[in-house]
Amino acid sequence: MTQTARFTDSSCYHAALATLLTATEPHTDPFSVLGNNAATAARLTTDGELTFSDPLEPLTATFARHGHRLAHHPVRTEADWRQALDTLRSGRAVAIAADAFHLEHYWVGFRTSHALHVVVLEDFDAATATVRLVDPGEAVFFDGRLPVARLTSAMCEGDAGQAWMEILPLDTGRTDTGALPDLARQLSGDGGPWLSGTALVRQLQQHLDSYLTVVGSRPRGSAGGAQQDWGPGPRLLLGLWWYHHTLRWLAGHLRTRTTDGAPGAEGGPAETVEQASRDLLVVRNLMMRLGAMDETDDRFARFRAQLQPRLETTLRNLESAAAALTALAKEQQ
Amino acid sequence: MTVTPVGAVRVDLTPHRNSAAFLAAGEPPDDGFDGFGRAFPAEQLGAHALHLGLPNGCGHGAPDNVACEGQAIDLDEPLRAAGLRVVGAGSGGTVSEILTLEHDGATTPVRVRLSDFLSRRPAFDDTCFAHSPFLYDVGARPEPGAEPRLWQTEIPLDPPVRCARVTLPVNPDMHIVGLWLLPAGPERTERP
Repeated sequence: MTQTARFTDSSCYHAALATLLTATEPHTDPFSVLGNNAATAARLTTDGELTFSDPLEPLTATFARHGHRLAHHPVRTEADWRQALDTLRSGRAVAIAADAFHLEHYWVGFRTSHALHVVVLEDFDAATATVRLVDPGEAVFFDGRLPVARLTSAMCEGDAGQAWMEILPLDTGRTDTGALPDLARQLSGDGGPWLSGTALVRQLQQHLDSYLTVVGSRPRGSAGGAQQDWGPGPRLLLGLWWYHHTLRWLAGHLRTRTTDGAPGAEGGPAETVEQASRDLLVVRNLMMRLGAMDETDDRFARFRAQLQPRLETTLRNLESAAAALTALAKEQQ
Repeated sequence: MTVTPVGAVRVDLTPHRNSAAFLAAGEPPDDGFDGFGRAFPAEQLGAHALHLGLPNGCGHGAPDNVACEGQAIDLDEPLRAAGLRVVGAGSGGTVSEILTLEHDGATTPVRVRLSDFLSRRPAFDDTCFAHSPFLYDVGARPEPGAEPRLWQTEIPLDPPVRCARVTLPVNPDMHIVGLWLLPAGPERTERP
């Protein structure tokens, strides 16, 4: 059945939280909130291993800057899940991070992957014990009612890290939307609690062969069985995937900030951030391909040769965007 | 409705097609659009297959699109182009890449943006060229929850440029199914 999408995005976190935000505050542009973030969510461990936090961590901080509390409630028992249902019964919408393996509409992972997938629930009907499920994912869009009982397995079975989320007003009511210097630092500076964008790219440049080896050791999607064994290879690819979306949403955010000296203008930081997000996606996807290719494949060298130039372009674009945002912030002072 | 501008010159992609993104009913799975076997149902193309100059046997394993790997496509005859028309899609996300038009050592970069083949709506100023109400998923299983699309975009060249060769980027997630050059009118010459 063809369904018309009202809002979709290829990042399930951004898509669901934007939809949840719209349900809570219909007049707020989701890009103004979710896009006000440039965090890589990447860290180097003391062993030098590159790790990525859940994208929810920086997004929670982003919501806080805009006066919202993104409350995250882990679901480990059916009692935890009943709290989410009570919130739905009270008439509020929630987002759930569910085990994709049990989400029937989610054809990408249903019965094949235990990865988390985020969707929105709203409009609980006590008479029929059904709820409206909105999945604003670009490739998997779904908007329909289903019995809440059909979600029990997705939320309560196993330990995929299931949770439900709600947006609440911050007690302080304080907002801090003018964070251009913070964004600049996240792009190319100390990066705050995480590596900055340029630090992450330099890390990839300096240790590219090692990371390709790590990615090459990832379990193959075609190997059969449900994907559960998230090793460092898949986690690296997933971390780069999320950072690509972070930059993409940041570009959208910068385009909305027309009062800040039009950072969305041609050649401005919005454009360079957008290009950085695209080059990073190409790098990530090529790394995934290379990880599955035989080095004797005549395309291997051609694809491998793309990585450093793309990373270099990404680096330059992130530096350029950071410098432009810093200059804009100074102009505003 | 799909309309190719009058006089548009279709670039022969036949020698360069290296990927099978379409799958016919009953055929065993191949690489598909994304390398994992997700494919656009060939039977849903209808008359578009002819328009695109797809090979006979499209959907039965023959290469039907160009996954961009830096191929250099020489034109039969150089022409002066006022625009470029591309039909294709991205896989693993949207794609925004540079195609390079060349003639006598002069190069003109042209940015081409295409939405993902599983996008429900265009991410750029491209428009839907062909749509299927279902996807052949991994293992050639019909999946009604996904609706693959081919996208079309037209990029004007102002001023027009002479072109004898089109060089593609190295991004195998950019899939080009059809490529046309839009000839410019006669070149004006200055008169004293």
